[in-house]
Amino acid sequence: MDFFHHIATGFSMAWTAQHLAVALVGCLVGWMVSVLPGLGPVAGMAMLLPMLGMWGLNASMILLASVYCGSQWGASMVRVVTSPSGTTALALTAVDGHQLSRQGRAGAALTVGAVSSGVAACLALGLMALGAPLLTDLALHIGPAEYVSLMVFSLVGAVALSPGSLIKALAMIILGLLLSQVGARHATRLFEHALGVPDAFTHIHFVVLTLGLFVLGDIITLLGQPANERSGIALTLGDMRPASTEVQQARPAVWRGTLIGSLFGLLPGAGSVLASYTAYALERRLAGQSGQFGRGDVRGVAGPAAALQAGVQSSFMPLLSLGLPLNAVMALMVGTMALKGLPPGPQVMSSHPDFFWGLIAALLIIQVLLLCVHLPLLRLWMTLLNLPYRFVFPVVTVVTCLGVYALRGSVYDLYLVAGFGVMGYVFHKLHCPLPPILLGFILGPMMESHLRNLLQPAGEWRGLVTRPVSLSLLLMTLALIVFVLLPSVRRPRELAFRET
Amino acid sequence: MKIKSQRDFWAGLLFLALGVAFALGASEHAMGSSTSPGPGYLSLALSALMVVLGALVLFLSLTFETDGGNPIGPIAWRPLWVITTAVVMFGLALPRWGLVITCLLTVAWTSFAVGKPHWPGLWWSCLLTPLAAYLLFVLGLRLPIPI
Repeated sequence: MDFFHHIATGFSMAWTAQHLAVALVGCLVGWMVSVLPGLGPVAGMAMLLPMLGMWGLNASMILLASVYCGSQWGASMVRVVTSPSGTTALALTAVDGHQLSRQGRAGAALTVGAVSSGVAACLALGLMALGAPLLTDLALHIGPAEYVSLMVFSLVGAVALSPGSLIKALAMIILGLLLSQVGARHATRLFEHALGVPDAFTHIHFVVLTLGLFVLGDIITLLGQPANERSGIALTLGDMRPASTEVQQARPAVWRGTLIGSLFGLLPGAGSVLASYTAYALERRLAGQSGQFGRGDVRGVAGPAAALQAGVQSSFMPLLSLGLPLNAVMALMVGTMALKGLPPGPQVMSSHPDFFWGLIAALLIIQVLLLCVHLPLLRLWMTLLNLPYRFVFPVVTVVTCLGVYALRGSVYDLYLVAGFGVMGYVFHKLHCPLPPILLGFILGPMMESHLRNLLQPAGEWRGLVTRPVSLSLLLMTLALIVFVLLPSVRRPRELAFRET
Repeated sequence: MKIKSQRDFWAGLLFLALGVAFALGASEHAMGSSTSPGPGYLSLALSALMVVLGALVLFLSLTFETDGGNPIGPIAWRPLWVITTAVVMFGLALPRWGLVITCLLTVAWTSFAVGKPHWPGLWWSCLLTPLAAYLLFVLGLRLPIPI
């Protein structure tokens, strides 16, 4: 059968000693960045990217994917053991896990969370593998006009479903697009005039942009905030096994979470966060009066964890099938694919089936690895969790600088990254979201080349509005903007996304 | 006229300024026409959109009341200064003095970004970071970095 043939292709790519080692390293790095203060998946991936110098496409993508998955696992663990702050959507879903850990049952909560995450991720991958052929057919009907409209839709969708002001986020997308266009040329000339730096490059490297905005900018921001060091977390794990009644309760919650996550993960922006929040709300409603919600209900741990991981997996789908990044993490992966010689787009699935199925298989392997290593290494992560930030940021700064230099051997890139660090801090102070810059920056050149294809024979812009699929995508984009700006939607949206 | 949201006011101004700057930059390139856009065409269109959005943010910041005026808050001058200079210094030092000395200098200098340095911690970081950087980047990954 075709399906099994594809799976076999995938495993023959992913199941090599090198790729397994890469996946394990990636998982460990992912955990580390989620556990250490002030880092996240985007920062971790950006710091690893320069080290991928001579690695091939498959190994690089497996590494990045495992960092992403590992960081999400780590983040769910951190949310259980530290006290949730405020009323953010994510903190809300962590309430029950934290209550369990205060009752001395952190071990059981972590086991439930880990097993739910792993099971949900594997199920979601199965759904993806089944759904992939449908998308391949769909992708064949995508011409330049549809692709441009699809990019516009996903860019706007990504900011509409993310926290912060929509108008500022749109401006940030445009800034990213502009930086990918002329920014480099002018910065280059400026540097040549002002500093006499001759070895300037003609384009800004996306890793330099990411490291500046997301790593250096974050360091300055965090150092500027009043010290809120996480005080010593010395909690007792207790029995690692959940009670059998709890297992019974958690099982259906995992199925439901998986479904919610698989669907929401396809949404642009903070899809998996939204999935986690929705799953929590659903479980609480289904439990009704019988539930222990808010006092440590195991369903409140299993459902959101399952939805989050399923969402993470299915957010790979738009990337692999259409070449569309829906958030900053995926944007980095698109950049890496392009860098390693496989331009992302709708043709990838049919022209490189081994890459597509290999990555699906690798994601499955990563989940199994995470499930095997997560619980045994728990104590190590908790030690790292208590590491004060003052030891972390100098090392992160050095790794960033070394990475930037290793990228192209250019000192000019180091001055550029310092500039982007300042820019990241300024935008943080002005409450302008940063991920849209990265999305715009990475989608910019792709969008331009498709636009030029569209205009190629006759110079007709009309294709964008005469082709039905393209037109409906553009109309949906417009509707989305109007919808988000409606006063009745604006308030709950701000509430749901606050500080996520 | 009263500024009702400090953050949005400055963000709006910044977007306006960036839009104008990019537009000036774009105008140096060939425009082309809408049917065959030149290198400057798309940039100019995007800059114009940026100016419009900047003006919109600015307008809204002067129109709608926000709680407490949405102030920017204190600016972290010291971390801003130390981290930026650390990176620039790294760029200046690396080709001259090599990896080990540069890492040492950068770790030592960044430790002054906040509060009083924690001396024992600083010694250990200064010892371990260059060593780890050398082992990982030069011996492990064989990246082309001057030692």
